[in-house]
Amino acid sequence: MAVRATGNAGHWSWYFQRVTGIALVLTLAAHFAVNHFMRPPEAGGADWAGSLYHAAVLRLSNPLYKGFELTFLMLATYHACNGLWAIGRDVVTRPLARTALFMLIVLAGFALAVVGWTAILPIDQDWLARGAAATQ
Amino acid sequence: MFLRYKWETGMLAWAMHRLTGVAVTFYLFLHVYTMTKLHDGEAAYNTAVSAFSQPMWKAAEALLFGAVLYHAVNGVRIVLVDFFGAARQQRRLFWGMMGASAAAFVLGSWLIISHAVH
Amino acid sequence: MEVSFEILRFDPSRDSSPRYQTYRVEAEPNSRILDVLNTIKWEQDGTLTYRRSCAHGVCGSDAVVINGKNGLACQQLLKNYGGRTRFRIEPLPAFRVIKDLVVDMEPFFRHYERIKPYFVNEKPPPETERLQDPVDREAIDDATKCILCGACTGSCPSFWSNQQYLGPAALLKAFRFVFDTRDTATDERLKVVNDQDGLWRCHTIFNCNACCPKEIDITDAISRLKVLAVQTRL
Repeated sequence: MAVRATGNAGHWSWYFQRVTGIALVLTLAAHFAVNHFMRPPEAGGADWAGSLYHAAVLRLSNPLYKGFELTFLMLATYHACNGLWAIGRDVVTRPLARTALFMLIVLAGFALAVVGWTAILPIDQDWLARGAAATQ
Repeated sequence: MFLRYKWETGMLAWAMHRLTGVAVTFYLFLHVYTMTKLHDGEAAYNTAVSAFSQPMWKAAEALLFGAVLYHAVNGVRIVLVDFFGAARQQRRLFWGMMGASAAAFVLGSWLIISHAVH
Repeated sequence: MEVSFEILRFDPSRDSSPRYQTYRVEAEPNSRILDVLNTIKWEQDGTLTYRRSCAHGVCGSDAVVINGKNGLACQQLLKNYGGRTRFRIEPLPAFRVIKDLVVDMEPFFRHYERIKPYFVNEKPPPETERLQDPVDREAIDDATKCILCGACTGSCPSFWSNQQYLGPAALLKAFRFVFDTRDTATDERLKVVNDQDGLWRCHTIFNCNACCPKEIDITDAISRLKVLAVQTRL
């Protein structure tokens, strides 16, 4: 069995799976707490009657929180794709099939990131007003 | 081989880590898709999201919480083994952490199913 | 006590597929699995084939699957299995069966040779010996105990699904020399183990640790190699 070049050694894949994993434990906790336990700061008192849509838009129109969510999305996308790739290399051994699988996973990850960014990025302070105008 | 070999702590932890990892990946795709509904107006988004408050989806949400919790806790265990020389303690570590997570899972599921968390 | 041994038998020159054959043997709780196999071969069925040499847990030739877990037939006593009287004996998983419990260990040793399992130091040896600090020796003490029985590699799910994987035994041997302060071939070995089908197919499943007849902390050794492989690239 020939020894392959070390260009695709796999140490970064292993290392960053752990780094992003620990980062995700922290960011997921924050994501979960903000989205499920906190009112958006602009929502005011306990009698706030905004819908889930209002709440989501208010949160995401805050640039800081939007940045956080996009970071979270990138971490999760990397970690998920890298995890699938780890499983793939356990199961798929032929070099060509491995390359094909790698490209498929990268493509899926890229698609996920693009969909996520286009969904979240344009949401700003005027989103609610524009949305209301569009439905009228 | 997977079915015939003796299942001990390590192999169980690994298999569940994979299973929950793949499950949460599916959810990630679904979740990001839901967020695109923000572009279809208030009604469309609310309909998409409120589908998850149906009883069956509540149970699925509790399972999702369990999967994420397991994956996170076991992930910490893997890091302890890899970077902090915890290999000899892996069994005790696993069952200790599982005990603590079981309590968190019961509390979390109860909050989800009783609609305290939406 | 009477025990029953269900043995997975296969003769590729005659059988189309493996089959279980059950033998009943009178044995003592202190009997070893190997004693029972010997009794079967010598008194009941001379065609039963298995590998054994020293029969004292040193040569590492009689690793088999005992009740679903790899172990040395010459080391495991019947009483180690919680009073069970039914035993199931199978050849090591993932290796080609030559006959009955004898498997082809060729892939195992090919992987082993890849990591250069010998001491390398270009400097001419001193008059007496290359001295080493006892503390440095202790770091590799555990790893030097490996007898190359193949129980660990045959127990690893990563190896079951991908036999290009170096496997725990080869990686442990790489650790043994990489962390030997007198050895100088660290870079060469790291190049071999830092590979898609080397270190990174280990997912800390711990089957190797659980079945190692010498109770070596193999997973820990592999983890240390992983961290070193990353550190040298940082």
